[in-house]
Amino acid sequence: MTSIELKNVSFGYTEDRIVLNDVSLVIDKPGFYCIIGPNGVGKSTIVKCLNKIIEPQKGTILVDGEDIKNLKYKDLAVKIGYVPVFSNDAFSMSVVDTILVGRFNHTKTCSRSENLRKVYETMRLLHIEGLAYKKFNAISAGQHQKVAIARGLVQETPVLILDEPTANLDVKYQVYVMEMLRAISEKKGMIVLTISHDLNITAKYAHQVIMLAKPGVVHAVGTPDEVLTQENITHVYGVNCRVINDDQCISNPKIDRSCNLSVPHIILGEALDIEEGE
Amino acid sequence: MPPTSSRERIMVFYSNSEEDPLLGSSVLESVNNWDEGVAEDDGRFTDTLRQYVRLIKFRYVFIAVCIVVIVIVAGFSMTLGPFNISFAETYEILWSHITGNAYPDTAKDYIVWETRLPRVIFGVFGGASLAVAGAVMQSILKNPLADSYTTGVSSGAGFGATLAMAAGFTLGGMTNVVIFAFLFSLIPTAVIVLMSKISSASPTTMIMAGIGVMYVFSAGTTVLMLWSDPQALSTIYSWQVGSLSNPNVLFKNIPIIVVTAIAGIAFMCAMSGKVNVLATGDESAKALGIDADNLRIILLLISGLLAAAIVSFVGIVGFVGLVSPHIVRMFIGADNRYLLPASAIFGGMLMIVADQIGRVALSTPLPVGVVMAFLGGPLFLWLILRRSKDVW
Repeated sequence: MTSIELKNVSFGYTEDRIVLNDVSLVIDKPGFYCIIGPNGVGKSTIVKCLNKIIEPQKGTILVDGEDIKNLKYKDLAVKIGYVPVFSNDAFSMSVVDTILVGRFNHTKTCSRSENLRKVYETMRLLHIEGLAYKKFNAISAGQHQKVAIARGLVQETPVLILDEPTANLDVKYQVYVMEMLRAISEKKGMIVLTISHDLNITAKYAHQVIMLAKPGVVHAVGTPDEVLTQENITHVYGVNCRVINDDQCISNPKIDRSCNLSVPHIILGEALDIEEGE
Repeated sequence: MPPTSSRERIMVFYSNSEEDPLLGSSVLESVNNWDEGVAEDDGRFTDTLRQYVRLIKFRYVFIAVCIVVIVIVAGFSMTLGPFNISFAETYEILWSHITGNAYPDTAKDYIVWETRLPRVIFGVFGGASLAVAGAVMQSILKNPLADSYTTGVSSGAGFGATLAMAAGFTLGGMTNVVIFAFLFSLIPTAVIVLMSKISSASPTTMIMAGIGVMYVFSAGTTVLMLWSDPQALSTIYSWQVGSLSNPNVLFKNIPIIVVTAIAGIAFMCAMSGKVNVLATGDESAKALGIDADNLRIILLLISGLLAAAIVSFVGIVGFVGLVSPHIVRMFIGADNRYLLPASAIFGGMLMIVADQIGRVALSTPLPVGVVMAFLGGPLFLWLILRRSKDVW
């Protein structure tokens, strides 16, 4: 089982622009993890540190107990798959070839048709198999997002990190993708870590929520009903809200409604006064 | 209010996803289908696979057509000149050299093999080198305007050559010009690489740095031309436009250019899978296990060498490096695994076709660089207008 551990990680783009402030975090069980928090609080920065895209000034990051400073990019890539918010603006390949890039680390061990099979299966999972030979630049932003998710999934890494996988998706696919990621984490025993802005969908599907707050600190970690409380949301986001426990959104007929299952539901109120600018 | 036990239960990880009350049956079914994989007889999948193979075949056909054109044009090119040698004879002479037999007519043999073949070889391998260098630079700098021109490599070489000629360092034949051109062409690449090391520059800044260096060298070349005497000036000028009639296009120089071109292009083709990954952006390349910064530097250096080698011998031939990859992309797409070899073949073809046209179109032979711009420019504009919107 792959594990990720951040020990007292601090990162700043410049001396006076500190983004992460002594962040410590352990993720050592499979599941669907969501990082939430307001803008500029270091959500993407954590993810980039995990992939060695940037190097924290202080602290250590361990993957399977090994400091990633000592790992080569290619050794880390086999463990952690990452899908950045990507737009291919220069020259675009077909959707198939774009997703096939995600199989880069499997090109030596798998034949072309095996790789194409994996790509096709994943396109089918995201209902984009009809776009296979469309140019990446010729499809919509929501479709880009599905291609990006597919590219992450075909990497077949034990850890998959997605930066805002539901951005640009319509309501149905926001739900579908998050539900799917939860299902995949359970089915495959994977760690799926996403950055998310939608509190309600996060509340419904995340196993664990990691809530970051200014100035780049971990405010709370736990199950959605532990973390997504009215106090936490108001404190971290500066928005009034009500949290109700909703049992209407559970649709699985195998579950008896009377057993009092519910998920937290956040109803947002007005924004509070902004104390200081960024 | 502390969470009730039942609400705690719903957030837990279900190692059997079927039991998870939050997962609807449609998602579970999709994920199960994904996990089980596609059936052998899935018609849609076999169609997708077949289309992929068809596209690859089309790419090979494209390459094959270009090779055929090269062979034909090369034959025609070798018939041109004061001594009358027929189209078929040129191939006979080449074939006798390949098979190791002596061709009976030694005069014709000498003319084709020693004096006319170098032009073709320099054209094909030069065009191929410039096109591959351009294709790689465009992909890794994510900029459709990148080529040996805009990265400053050509103008660096131009300055070096002008310096050698203006200062009269031409005693040992033209060898000094080549050496100077080559050395100075390395400066722009070095500047770009250093800039990226120092300030972790983005691909856009790198190309801006290249353009900055280009202007400095162009200005330097102009100054040297103002200072030099009329005789040197005409040599400098002919070198500036780039021509396969350049005095360095000699039989004895063939090995240098062929070895550099083949080694460089082979290296690029071997790296083409990585170039694809790098072209999706640095972050995603690093996440896929590629040291993006180092790879870009290596690829830039090799591109610079490829371009410098040819520019040193024939002068500044613009356009082929910029335009070949774009035209090839319109036909076979942006996948570098096919783009790079196809650009090489297409670039070689474009170069000797342009040279051929320049030699026969008017009574005065035109340098290949001029023809390339005259024909390539409008052709390129036409292709841009009628392209399917999504090439770049």
